[in-house]
Amino acid sequence: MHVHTARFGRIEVEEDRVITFPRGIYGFEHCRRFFLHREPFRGRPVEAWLAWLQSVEDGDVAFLVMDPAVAFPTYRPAVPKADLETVGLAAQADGALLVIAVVPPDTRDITVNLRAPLLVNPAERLGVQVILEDDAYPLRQPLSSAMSKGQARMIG
Amino acid sequence: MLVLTRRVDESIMLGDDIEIKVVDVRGGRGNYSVRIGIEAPRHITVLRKEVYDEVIAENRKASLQVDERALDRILEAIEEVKKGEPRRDGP
Repeated sequence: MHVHTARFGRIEVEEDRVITFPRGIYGFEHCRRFFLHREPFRGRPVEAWLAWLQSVEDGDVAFLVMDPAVAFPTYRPAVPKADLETVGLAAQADGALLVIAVVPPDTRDITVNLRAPLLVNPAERLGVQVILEDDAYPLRQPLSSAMSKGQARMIG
Repeated sequence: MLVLTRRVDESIMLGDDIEIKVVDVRGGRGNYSVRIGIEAPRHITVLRKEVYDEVIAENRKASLQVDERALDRILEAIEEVKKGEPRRDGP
């Protein structure tokens, strides 16, 4: 299938790479189908923990997402059971967490949304944006506050 | 919007299984707050509207980043995290 995107032009995507968000992403309810896109950047491949989550339905919509483990290795949000059910997961550990980054011009102002992570079931290719009920993790966590190096990987 | 008047300890039902109850009213002189109890099935997400609105605003901000330098900057920031360098102040 071909997707016309604002950032990357026309991309060929295999159907089995599509991740369906049955409830959409907050504020973007018209987008249900996404895929992870890693455009080679300045001639080198983009690292595995970082990707664009590109909408299939709306070429203008893409989020820069990362594996939180690379910067916040102790991040362990408790995903509500209802959200696990949305993506067909029996256990949270079988899913993959992603967080959305907001990247202003100054690198010191980069924040990641730890309050509303994305949970993906890689086997079923289903995703959901979770809003954590407790406020232990902020909506705008500065990336510069990350202290240690984590082992990060991400679904393909 | 449907507007109903309820007293403390009175409820409203939304469908058969969501109950919203006025638990307490505090304050006075034009500055009241209302404590509300909600009983709903587990699959219903209950959030303060501000949180919901903020998530939408954050998502919109994130999606507006169209320039490719966003990648450059996040890679640069993570390099610093990995090096464990303290945050630099000023240029």
